[in-house]
Amino acid sequence: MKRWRINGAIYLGLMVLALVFIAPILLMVAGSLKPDARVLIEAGSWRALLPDSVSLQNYGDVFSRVDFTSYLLNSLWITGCVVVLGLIVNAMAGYAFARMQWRGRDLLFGLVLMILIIPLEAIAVPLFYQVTLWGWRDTYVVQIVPFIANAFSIYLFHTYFLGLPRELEEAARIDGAGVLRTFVSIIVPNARPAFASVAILTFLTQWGAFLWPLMVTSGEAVRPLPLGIAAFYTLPPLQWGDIFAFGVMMVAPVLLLFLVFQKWFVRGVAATGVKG
Amino acid sequence: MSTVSFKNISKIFDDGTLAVTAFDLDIADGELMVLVGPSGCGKTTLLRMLAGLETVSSGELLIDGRVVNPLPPQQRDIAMVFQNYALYPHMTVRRNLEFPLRMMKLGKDERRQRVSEVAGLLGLTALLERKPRELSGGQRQRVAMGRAIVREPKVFLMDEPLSNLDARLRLQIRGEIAALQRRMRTTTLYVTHDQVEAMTLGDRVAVIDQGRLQQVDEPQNLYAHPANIFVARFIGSPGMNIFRTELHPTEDRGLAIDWGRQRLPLHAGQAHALRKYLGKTLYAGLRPEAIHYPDAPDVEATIVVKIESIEALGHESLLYFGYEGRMEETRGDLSPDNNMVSPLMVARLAGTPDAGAGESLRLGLALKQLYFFDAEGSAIC
Amino acid sequence: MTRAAWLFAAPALLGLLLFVALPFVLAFVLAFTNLRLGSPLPLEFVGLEQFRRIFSDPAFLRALLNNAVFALVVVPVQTLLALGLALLLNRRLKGLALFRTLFFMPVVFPLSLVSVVWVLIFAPGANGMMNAFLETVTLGAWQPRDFLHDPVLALPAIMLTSVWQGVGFQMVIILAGLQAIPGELYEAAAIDGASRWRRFWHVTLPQLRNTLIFVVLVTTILAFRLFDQVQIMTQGGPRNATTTAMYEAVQAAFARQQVAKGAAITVVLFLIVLLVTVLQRRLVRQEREIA
Ligand SMILES: Nc1ncnc2c1ncn2[C@@H]1O[C@H](COP(=O)(O)OP(=O)(O)O)[C@@H](O)[C@H]1O
Ligand SMILES: [Mg+2]
Repeated sequence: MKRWRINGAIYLGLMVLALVFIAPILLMVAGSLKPDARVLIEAGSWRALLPDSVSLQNYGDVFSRVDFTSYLLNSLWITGCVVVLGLIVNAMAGYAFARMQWRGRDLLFGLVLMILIIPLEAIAVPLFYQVTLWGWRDTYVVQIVPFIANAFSIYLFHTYFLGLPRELEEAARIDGAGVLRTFVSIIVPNARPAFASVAILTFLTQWGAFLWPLMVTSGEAVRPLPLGIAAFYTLPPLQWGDIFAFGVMMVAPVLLLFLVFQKWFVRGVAATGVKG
Repeated sequence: MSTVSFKNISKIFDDGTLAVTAFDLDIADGELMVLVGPSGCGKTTLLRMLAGLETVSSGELLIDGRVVNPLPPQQRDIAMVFQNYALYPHMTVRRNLEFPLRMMKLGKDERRQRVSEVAGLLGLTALLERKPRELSGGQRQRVAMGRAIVREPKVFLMDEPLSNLDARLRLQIRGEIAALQRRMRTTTLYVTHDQVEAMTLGDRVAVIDQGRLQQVDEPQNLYAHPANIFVARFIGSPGMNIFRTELHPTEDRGLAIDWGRQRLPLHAGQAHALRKYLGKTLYAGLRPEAIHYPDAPDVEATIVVKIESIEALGHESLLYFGYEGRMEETRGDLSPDNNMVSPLMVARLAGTPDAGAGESLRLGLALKQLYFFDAEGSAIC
Repeated sequence: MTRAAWLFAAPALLGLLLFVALPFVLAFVLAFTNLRLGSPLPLEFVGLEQFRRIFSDPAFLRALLNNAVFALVVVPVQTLLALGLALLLNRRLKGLALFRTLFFMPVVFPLSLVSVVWVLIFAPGANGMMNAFLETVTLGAWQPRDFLHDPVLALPAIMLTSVWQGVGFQMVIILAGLQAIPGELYEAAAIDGASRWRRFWHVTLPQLRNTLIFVVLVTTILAFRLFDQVQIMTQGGPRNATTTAMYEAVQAAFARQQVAKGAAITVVLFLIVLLVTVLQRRLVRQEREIA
């Protein structure tokens, strides 16, 4: 009896909290389906969270008012490149640190761990100056290349590779595989969780990147979605329905990935907590 | 096809651990050589050095007369079965077996043929499309064997390949390995800490202790002529009883040794060989199989012992007893021979004796089967 | 082996060298110069001049204060909320996975989008969502305010936005920490007759200590990195009420071309992050020594 009541209270509490948590999301989704004027008028009532009329008008408006496709493709390209190249480069480094014997290894790994604590914000200004000197501003390269090598990714891979049984690689070496072949055919397929974690964390970071693109791009041509929505939001006239439609389309790919690969998202994030 | 030689091999790990010292061993073509010794004695290290997984600190490793020290594993043409099998978890059994063949760049048809041959040989045909985690321990073990065999390498290395199996399966697969090796006649190094496994499998057995080779010989010779106390105590189940003793001249110009407060007369042949040890430290050994009931045929002396415990196995019993009156002495004794002598004596008796722990029992000794060792533990004569 | 290893590690090491180590060193160099982009003045070393300037700049001081206040409020609130959610979800009840999904969902939202959505939530007037909500729960006592243009309420508004977006992240980390606590510990404590509350206090919290320290560290550092929300929701206003160190650095380097001043600010930022990290390491190490 008592247990039943406790559980009931937990469910009730969770439900209330959940409503608070998804209210902003409902507001956005519902708003994107309503005529622009109604969004503001209804913002103070429960109806703000419910789409009473369903129209894709706002979505069409987004495309006619800004070049959404360009923002989207830029984001996809930049994020895709950073994720794919980052996986390759950082996994290889993590492997070299975890499993190969070489001079300077421990010293360099110590340096990587120190670099781990430097946030982008702390170096954004000199990096901005650096890429300005190199003439990299307003390019894809400037949004991709600096973020491929990542100390935290190396650290995650390193930890994971250390946990793989050594015999696996030794068996491969004895079976006739060289270092690269062992890495590609034996290590990588057995380190999927590490690859998934790193891919997801990199993806989330890059998809939401705002500060850096804001500093190094000015033209619309190479700007990604976060700058797109910031610009769209200040583009008169202020049309909340359109803005929300933009937002829904911007978050939809991530949300979709999240719902499909939820287990890996949660594991990836939890993996950040195991350090220290 | 292939011979293997360890020439004065030593291994010191980075942390200073001395794992192998001045190790010499020649393995003949097609031979099944078993390396046996207690855990931590350096067996795995020896195997890993031969495989190229561990560097050699000093000495030379030869395969087919060619020094292989600087070669990486993939260029040594050896195959290894790991203790935990090390099957590739993401590959099916077929892909596991194929992997070494792919590395040899064999064509698809040849790969298929070899894999199906080996799978047939090891009874894996029905399991080819399964992943390792869908296999039982014994099946995994067979896949590991198969992956080693399929390449037809110069040398097989096996590191305690049966230690993860239950007792029955271990017995069965032990037989299979022996049969397989006899058929293929590939030079094999087999590591185990289990002397029974070593004795039943090996063409020859190399006994190792603390990184040093103690003796290498055919199993029967190891049992019959142990080179030192370590081998005597290690080989046999249970191993030889060793006790410290002294020589005494007898009235008929022979020799006798102490057994506790009792004197045991020696045969003329034994006495002849031992005469120069008069007044020196001497260890004597008697196998549990040489201790009988008093009325057995080759009994020449009887003793009364106090039973510590009995392990009754039905058809026979292991009877443990203290070395008359000296138990306290040896237990508390920190002198170096403490690890030479047996803390408890053991006799292997037929059936079940009608006495229990704490009671006294008269036993007979087959004195002809006494062994003698000098102060360093080396066998005499 | 060494050559192969270098080949494996080289691309990443080169990247870290060029895009983290180099600018990091450059930050310390530039902070001691008078560098301005496009300025005709010759480059000079000016010593601590830039630091003297930023520490006498009321906007920057206000920014540091805002970062600190943000950290002092958000760190405990968000950590406790995340801990509470994780404790609620760390049990075997049907449907909890769904709640976990819901609480985590905001984490995948880009901060820029979150900021824009919350601008509407904080819309002024009785029609604004937050105003309407507060009016309902206070039974009409709440007078509608213009949150984002209110010197007192603008920063709390940004805090709320940040907590909403970030709490799921901490929750998942704490949840993983909770699930790593061996069940036997609870069983042993229960056999010893410890009450629910005592078990939480003597088993859960000590076991969760390192996780919580980590969560606090990350949240504190995030507080000092605060930028996106400010840029979109308030542009640092009203009257610097929501400006932050990073916002000031970008303003300096980017809007006013004062690269040296921006570099000086990021150096200060880094020192703060370093201090927080060192503190955290100390705390974790201490615990290991005790254990
Ligand atoms: N990588 C290593 N570093 C240091 N010492 C080691 C290493 N590997 C093994 N040893 C030590 O070397 C000795 C022999 O080990 P090993 O060859 O594994 O013994 P066995 O296989 O006979 O049990 C042991 O004392 C062991 O602790
Ligand atoms: Mg071993």
